[in-house]
Amino acid sequence: MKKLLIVALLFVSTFGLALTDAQAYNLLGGKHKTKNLAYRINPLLETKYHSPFKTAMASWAAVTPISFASQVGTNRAQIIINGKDYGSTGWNAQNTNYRDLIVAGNYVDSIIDANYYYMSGMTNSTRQGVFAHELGHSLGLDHVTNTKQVMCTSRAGRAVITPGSDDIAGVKALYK
Amino acid sequence: MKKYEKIGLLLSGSLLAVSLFFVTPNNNIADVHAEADIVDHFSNVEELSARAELILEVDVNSTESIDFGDLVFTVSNNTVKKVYKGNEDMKSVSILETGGIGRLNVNGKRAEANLILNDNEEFKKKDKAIVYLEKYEGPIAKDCYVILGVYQGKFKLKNTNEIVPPNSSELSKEIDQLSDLDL
Ligand SMILES: [Zn+2]
Repeated sequence: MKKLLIVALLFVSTFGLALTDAQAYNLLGGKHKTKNLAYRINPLLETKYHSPFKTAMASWAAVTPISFASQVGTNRAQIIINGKDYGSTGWNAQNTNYRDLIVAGNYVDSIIDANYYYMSGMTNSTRQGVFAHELGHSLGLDHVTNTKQVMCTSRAGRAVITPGSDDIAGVKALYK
Repeated sequence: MKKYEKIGLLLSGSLLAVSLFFVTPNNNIADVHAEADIVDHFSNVEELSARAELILEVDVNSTESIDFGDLVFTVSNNTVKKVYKGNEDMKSVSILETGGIGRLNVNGKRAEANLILNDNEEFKKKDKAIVYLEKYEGPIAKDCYVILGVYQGKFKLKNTNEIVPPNSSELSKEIDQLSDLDL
């Protein structure tokens, strides 16, 4: 019996390790209920951020099952983009995912904020990369260290502004 | 599946959900997680030291949260215990951090929640830490400093020599003793 247990443990640990090696994306532990998401651009968001944000959404929609449509009427938007000068807080942008039951359940609101203090001086393509990264969080992805993925955070920096193969695999796993 | 099993599963599931809701820290105030794109990443203590305007050992006396935009910020008022870099006569310092307990837009309504940025909680009263700081420039608070790399320059003191490095930092792997900071 003891032997069997050891064998089973060995099997689980090797198999488990192989699995973690294969998945090169990390998950936050939540997702939106639907892959067809409505977004809303806060009317107060400075217009120079609109186009890089839309391009960032398009970059995810092109390679994953996710679709983004502008929110209409009283329908609820799942993705909200906003912006403000927060000063030298040390971050370019942030995404907060609010869940259905606050601490549990699917994401109902993903609120992205651009910090004008850092983002106003960026080129549109750099802004696009920041938004693509934050949108990855909205969809449920966590950070990785591979610089070829848009979810990368590291000293070396992100080398891309559009989703990479691991980013895509992560979102495809979440939204089948 | 038998009917009783189904009911049992449902019951235990809802019990778990209810207990999860109430077992969250801060007297039932829900944690809400935010992920920020950080401007600077530091890969060693030397880089932190070189960039820091101040390196201090501090005791947190009090904290105050500020609702600003979609977020919550916390200003902590700290006693300076030791100055490693900066004016040696410095007695106190205010530190601004993103995160804290405030009124957030939860499910379309403003409700109290604890905002946690990149899995690093803001200072609480009685915390002790070594901090690498730079001056804050912006509209949220006056005359205060921010932690370098948002949370990367914050090392909480556990005992006399043990430190708790920040989460998800490239520095964290090598640092768990005060001596690792080479102060
Ligand atoms: Zn991020």
